[in-house]
Amino acid sequence: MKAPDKKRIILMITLTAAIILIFAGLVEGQASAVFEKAAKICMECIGIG
Amino acid sequence: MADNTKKRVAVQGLWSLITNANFKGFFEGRIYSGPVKQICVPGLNCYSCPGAVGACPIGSLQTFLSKMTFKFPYYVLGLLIFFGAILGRVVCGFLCPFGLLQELLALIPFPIKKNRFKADRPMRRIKYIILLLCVVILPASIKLTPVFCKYICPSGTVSGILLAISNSVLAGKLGRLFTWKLIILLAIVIGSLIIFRPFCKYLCPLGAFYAIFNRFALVRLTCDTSKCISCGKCSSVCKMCVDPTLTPDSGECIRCGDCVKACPEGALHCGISVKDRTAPENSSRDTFAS
Ligand code: SF4
Ligand code: SF4
Repeated sequence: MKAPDKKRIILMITLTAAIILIFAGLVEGQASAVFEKAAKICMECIGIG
Repeated sequence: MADNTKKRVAVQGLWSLITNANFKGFFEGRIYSGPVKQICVPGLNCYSCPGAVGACPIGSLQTFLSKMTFKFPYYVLGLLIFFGAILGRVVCGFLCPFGLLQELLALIPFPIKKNRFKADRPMRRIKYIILLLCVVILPASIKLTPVFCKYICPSGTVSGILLAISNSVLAGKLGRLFTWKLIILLAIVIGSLIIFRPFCKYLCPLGAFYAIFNRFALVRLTCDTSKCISCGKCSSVCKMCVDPTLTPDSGECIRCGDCVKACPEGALHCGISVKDRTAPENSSRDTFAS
């Protein structure tokens, strides 16, 4: 198999895996876990600790 | 400023504005807490920036890994892989506010400007160590501590400064940790006056992550070796010190397109890659192989 085909196959597999992971995360409610952290000022980030 | 750079800076600026559109936050010393905050942006953009409307992917990743009860970060990792697979380091070239900040600093005249030096190449590995150690291993072992955010991230320090300007309560709480982070930020600012994007080249874990995808991402750089006359113009204009004729897939390439513009023969192409026209990678010319 030629290199470009291999790259395209890797890309397809990676994209499929990414979409599955995103859905799995959404089902687990991980978007709201991200929200919980992101909606409050992160003391570590801004250097308070 | 070259035309290509102007256009790219315009895209970077526009994207930074869109993803930091909570303008009133800058005056009120507060952050946005609406529903968009559950979506990670592709670039390094602290979620505690008063303007940020999205979440930082690197911060979110550490949040999951450093939870008391370990949770595999399906959602954040999925988003990061998705961005990487489509764009690779196009994100760095076009969609990262911290990349933009460094590029603007690079435009300021400074007595020393040095982009190519001996230690450059080995130093590029540091960002992979930071990704593994400070974003994955340490946060997962020291619970509740996002090590990269807390001790390194300059985007968070900028957010701290912006918040402190209009929020006296927060300003009063800044102490030794903030001083440490300020020193790192200052070093990066001064470094950016001398070297093109030092944080991206040596320290950024997000850049390290996307670098892995540059080899097979949908948007790629390709070189038509049948057209290339080996004049070296492309590699001499590359501020990331890549030779695109040898390693167009280099993880160091931020897909800025400067080399494409510089090529007199039209041998380079940056975009959705349909055909691989890459040169063999075992050449002797100095370049980044990864
Ligand atoms: S390397 Fe990091 S800071 Fe630089 S542009 Fe990429 S994501 Fe942004
Ligand atoms: S190789 Fe070309 S596209 Fe990549 S960083 Fe260098 S000049 Fe920009």
